[in-house]
Order: sequence, then C-alpha cells, then structure tokens
Amino acid sequence: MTHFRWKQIGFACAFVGALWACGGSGGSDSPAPTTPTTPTDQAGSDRKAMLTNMADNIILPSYANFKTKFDLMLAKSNAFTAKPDKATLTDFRQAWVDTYVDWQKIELFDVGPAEQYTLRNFMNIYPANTAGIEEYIASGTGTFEVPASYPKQGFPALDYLINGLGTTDDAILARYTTAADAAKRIAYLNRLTTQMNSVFNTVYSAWNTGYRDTFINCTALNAGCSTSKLVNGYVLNYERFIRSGKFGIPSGAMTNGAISAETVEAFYKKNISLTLAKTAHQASVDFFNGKSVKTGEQGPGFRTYLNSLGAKDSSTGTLLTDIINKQFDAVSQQLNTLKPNLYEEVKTNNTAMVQTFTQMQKIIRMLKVDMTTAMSITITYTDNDGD
Amino acid sequence: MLKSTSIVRFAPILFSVVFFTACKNGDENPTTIHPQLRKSVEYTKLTDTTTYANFFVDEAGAKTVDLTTGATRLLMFRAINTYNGTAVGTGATLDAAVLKNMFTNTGSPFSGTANTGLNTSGVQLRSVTASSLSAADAEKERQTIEAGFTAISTASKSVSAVAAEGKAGKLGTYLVDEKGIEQGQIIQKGLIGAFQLDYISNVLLSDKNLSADNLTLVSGKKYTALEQNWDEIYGILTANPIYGSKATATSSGESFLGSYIWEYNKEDFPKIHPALLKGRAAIVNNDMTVLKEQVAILRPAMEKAIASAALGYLGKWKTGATDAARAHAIGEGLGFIYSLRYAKLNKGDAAFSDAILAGLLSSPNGFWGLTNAKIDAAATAIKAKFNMPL
Repeated sequence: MTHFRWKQIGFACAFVGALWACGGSGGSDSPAPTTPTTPTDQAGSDRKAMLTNMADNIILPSYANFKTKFDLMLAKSNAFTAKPDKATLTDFRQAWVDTYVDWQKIELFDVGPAEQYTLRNFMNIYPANTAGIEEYIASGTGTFEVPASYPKQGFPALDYLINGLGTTDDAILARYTTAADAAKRIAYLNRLTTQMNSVFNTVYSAWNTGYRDTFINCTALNAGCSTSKLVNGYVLNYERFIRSGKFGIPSGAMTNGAISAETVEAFYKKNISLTLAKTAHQASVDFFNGKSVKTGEQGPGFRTYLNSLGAKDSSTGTLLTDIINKQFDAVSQQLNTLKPNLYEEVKTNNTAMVQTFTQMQKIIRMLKVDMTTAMSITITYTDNDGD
Repeated sequence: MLKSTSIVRFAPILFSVVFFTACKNGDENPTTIHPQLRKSVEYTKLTDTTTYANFFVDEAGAKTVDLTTGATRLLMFRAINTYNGTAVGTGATLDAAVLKNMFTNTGSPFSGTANTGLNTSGVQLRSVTASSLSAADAEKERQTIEAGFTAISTASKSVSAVAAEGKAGKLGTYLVDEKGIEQGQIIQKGLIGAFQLDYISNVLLSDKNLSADNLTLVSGKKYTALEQNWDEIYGILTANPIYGSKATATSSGESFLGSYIWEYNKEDFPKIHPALLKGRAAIVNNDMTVLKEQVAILRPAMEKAIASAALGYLGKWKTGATDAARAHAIGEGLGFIYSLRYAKLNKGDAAFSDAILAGLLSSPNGFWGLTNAKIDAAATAIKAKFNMPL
C-alpha cells in the first residue's frame, strides 16, 4: 500500500465525512498560552542558606570537635594496651566517656558519607554482643563488615571491654595482664579502635575533601538531594536511635511492655546513659534551630526554612516551629526528671521512662508528618508498599 | 479517481469510515495518513480523572475498551503472590507444583470467588513472561521464575522456625531460605520485571505491536487489534478505573509495578494515566506521532522506577536496623536487580543483572555475608547503567 493511495482514500473520506456531519469547533481561537513568569526560587535559596549554615557551622565543626576527643581516646587506648594498669585504664575510660558523649552530637548527621558508609553501624549499635566479642577474641579474627558484627564493635563494645569484664578494676585489669587470653584481648581492643578510626576518618575526610560543596549545592527538593536526605536521616535518628533505642526498647514501650533494662545505652558504665540521651536530644533540638556550634547563635536551619514556607497549624495559626520547639521543651523537662542511670530507672521508675518515650513520640509525629509535609519531602526510609 | 481494484480492496474500510465517519478539521492531525475507523477524539477532552474504560466508545456509544485479558493476567500474578503469602500468613507449606500450574494456568489451579474465572480464561502468565526474548532465552528466564517456586516451597517447610545464618525460617514476618533470601520477593519482584515490565514495555509497546491492525475490528469485538494491545497494558498495570487516583501521601493505592512507579518515580507517576489515555486516543485518531510520544513517556518511566527501586532497597539494607528489615530489603532489591535485565532502553540484559546478583551473593552464606562494599558496588553499577548521579 502506498501512501499515495492512502492519501487518496483519506481525501475521499474527508470529503464524505464533511458531507456526513461536521460539528465544527466554532472557530474560536484557543486562548494563547500564558508564559509562566519565572519566580525567584525563594525556597531554593532558603535551602542553600540552610545547608550552608548546617555544613559550615554545625556539621563540620561538630565532626572536628568529635575528632579531637576521638583522637585523644585512641591515644589513651593505645597507652592502655601498651601498659594496662589502673592509671591507663582510668584515663582511657574518661576519654571514652567524653568521646561517647560527643558522638551523640554527630550521630544525627546521617547524610552523605555517614549515610553511605553507615557510620553509626560501626560506632554505636547496642546492646553489645558480648558472646560474639569473646568468640572474635578467642579466634583472633573475624570480619567487622557484616551486620552481625556491628554489635561487636564501636563504643558499646569498648564499654564492655573497659567497664564490663569484672566487678572491680583489679578484676578487669587481670583480663588484660594475667589472663591466658590477655594478649588476644589486647589485640582485639586494638583492632576495634583501628576499625573505628578507619570508618570515622573515611567519613571525615569525605566531608573535608569535596562533599561539603556537593552537600550545599544539591539544593533541589528531590529524594537524591541534600534537604531530603538530611531530613530523612535526622528524623530516622530521632525516631529509631533516640526515641526507640534509648527509651522505647529498654522501657518495653515498644515491645508490649516487655522491659529489657540491659538494652540501655552504655549498659556497663550505666551512670552516663541519661547524659548520652540528653546530649543526643539537645543536638537534635539545636540542629533543628540551626544553632551554630561555634557561636551558639541560631542561623538558617529547619526552623527558619519552615517559617519561610509559612508552615502553621491550620486551626490555631501557630507556627509549626513554635509547636515543635514547645514539644522539644516538654521532652527536655521530662528528661530532667530522670536519674542518671537509665538501667536503674527502667528497674525502679519505668513509668517515667515510658512517659519519655511518649513525649518523644509526639515529636516524631510533628517531624515525620507535619514538617515533611510542609517541606514537600518524602520519608524514604520506611517501607510503604506493605508487602 | 480510484482504480476499481483499489476500491474493491478498500471498500470495507471505506464503508466503515463513512459509516462511523469522523469530522476532521484540516489542522487537527496533520501527520495522519491513515483513514480512521472512528470519530476523532480531541486530546483536550482528556483529563487526569478521565476513566479509561468508559471514555472510548464507538459510534453507537458502545465501549471499545476491554481490559479482560490484561486484568486476568494481573489477577493471576496477584493469586501467585497471595498463595506465597499463606506460608507466613497461615503457616502453610507451599507446593511448587501448584505455583507452576498457576504460572501456566494448568489444571484449574485458581480458587476463591474472585479467581474462578481465571481457570477458564484461556490466558496464562508463563507464555508472556520474558516474551521479548528469543525462545531459548525466554525459556531460561521462565525456568528461573519456576526455580523460585521450588525454593519458596522448600523454605516454607521451615516457616515455624526462626531463621539464622545457614538456616531457613522466619525473620520477623518474612520467610527466608537458608541463605537469608526472601524467595517470595524474588518471585514477586522478578515477575514485575519478567512479566509486567517486559511484556508491557518490550512487547506491547514495541514498534511491531504498535503497527498492529487499527483499521478493522477484531472479529466479534468492538475493538481493533491495536486498541486491544493498548488496553492490555492498562489492565496489566492497574486494577483501578483511574490509574494513580487512589494514591495518598503514604500509599499508592496500586499494586506491583503500578505501586513502584508511585514509590520510586514520583516525577513520572502523575504522567502515566494521562499518557495511557492519550495513547489510546491517538490510536483512535490513527495518530502515530502522538502515540509514540506516549510510548516515550511510559517506557522510560517504568524502567526508571525499577532501577530506582533496586537502588532504594539497596539503601534500605543499609538503614535497616534488624536482620528482618535487612533481609526484606535485600529480597526486594535482588528481585528488582534481576528485573533490570528487561530495562532494554537502558541496555539492561541478563549479563548485566546477573553480574550484580553474583557480586551481592558472592559469599556462600548469601544475605548473611553482605557488606556495605558489596551494596555500594551494586549501586554504582546500576547508577552508571541508568545514567543516574553517582
């Protein structure tokens, strides 16, 4: 069939068709399309300002502060493994506490290199798997890369190794000096700190060799860019690792009331668990408000960005950021009612632990639903498909 | 004017055209060169809420859309998935023979009131699975799917056990095999690729199929072969009258491929229903230009959704805080990575998919030996292939 013939036929059809019936459109011109004016992308420039402030005044200085403490802890660890005695143990423990507290100020930056290299998995998965740690010590080997090894390393493993091996300092020191496997235990401690150092430095150096620019320049709102990743990582951290990890799981609030006090953070040291939780909570509050780690001044952050978007409670007209900060305050006050040892709190004052979880749950709803809706950001870390 | 032979040859068509004649404004479809069977559809009459099945009618007002064949296959896919779910749901031991019969629609394998019609539908999934490939390659892929049936059947025998490294059973609410692989996901996500993506994108939307007869009605039907070809796409993609209309902030309201376009290709998701409508209208209008424009929306959108889903689940392996969450994530991820072989626009093939799968499962303990490095290598390969930012 040639086109020529089809054209002939088409022509004939059109002719016949015209005779058949032709309801014309009346000849009215369709309205000329209006050229959309290019609006200045206020939200985009707000995001750029926010990301820049977060990178330069919060994330990078927080990483740097942590590194200072961390390097000191590594030095104290090396001093201890070179010569395990009461003095080196005491020094190591203090440095471990200081570094662990500072860790709470960087754990929330679950974006970029920390997300890619899953920094948290190698630093703070608890409770420590003590049986697994002992197996690794005995065998003198074992991978640190698979998920099953996460609770055999990081701060919780160090907690076990410097606080949990005996009821007295002498008993603990004996495990590093006179015990048959003392050399293997020392070797494991060295492996642990080497591993932590390696993973942290991978993240730290990526931030300081290019990622900072990638981060502040990826201002689009899609799931692959900084704001979405940052918000996802931030909310995930508060939900799973502050609310659930520190309170929901030990108190049984998330496990049908089945309490498990031994799953608190810093289980062997115990009396710093509240400090760790408070520090993590405050870091999230400060991050929300764009508070500079260097000056203590508030700058562009989630708070200013939400205000700029005009996010308000529709019924009362109250700014969403005021509502969120009020709830953050409520959590802070609740935390102030707790005693330093959360293990003991679970055992003797668990109602307050559950109340803390409940207050934090209110924050999660605000951050995960209200904040993300206002920002047009999708929570991607949950599974929505329901299969 | 016309030679008499031509008149004889085209008389039926001419008659039809005259009978159902369309009103053609000269400037409406300048590229149209074929006569039309039906009255032209004005594209501007299509809206985001136009119901696909009701909109397209013949001169007598009878619907020309028939979703039966596509919808039947989607129900078969759902039936397989539902049957697989009974292992965890009710502790059932799964029978691989039943699954194979569901795949080939042999021996009345479908039960339940919603599915009784499937047994006598005369269509099956297996014949259209991986059907863009050569006969030998298609057979290989079909056997891969069937190997999954055997694997899930074996795993289901351990459904009351708790899984561990080297041990099949349940992790949380997920049934995994002795290597920690959730075979139900391998099957489901594998069929999303081998059945839905391959059949829709590489067969029904192929140039060959899009040149199907559009001038005569299929005997005894109200549609042309090309119209039915397009309707099959709709029926396979969604069971909803308006694709995507049930989506909320947290749920797609769709299933299988249709839901993953929502979850992993938010940008293209709202374009799908309009493209399906416009493509169907273009077929009515015999407007190959506009038809091809819709194909150019649909095919890349589906491939992007599959690739993004693969990456998304690799990421969820990382963020998963429990073995159960990680196993479920990688089960979905492995299924989607398998399906990348059908992303032909992006030059996906079996070698590409299989190399990534081999890398991920290089340890004898499978899931239990996964590391960040293996996940990252897989993600990097996918991003490079699909031109996504690294």
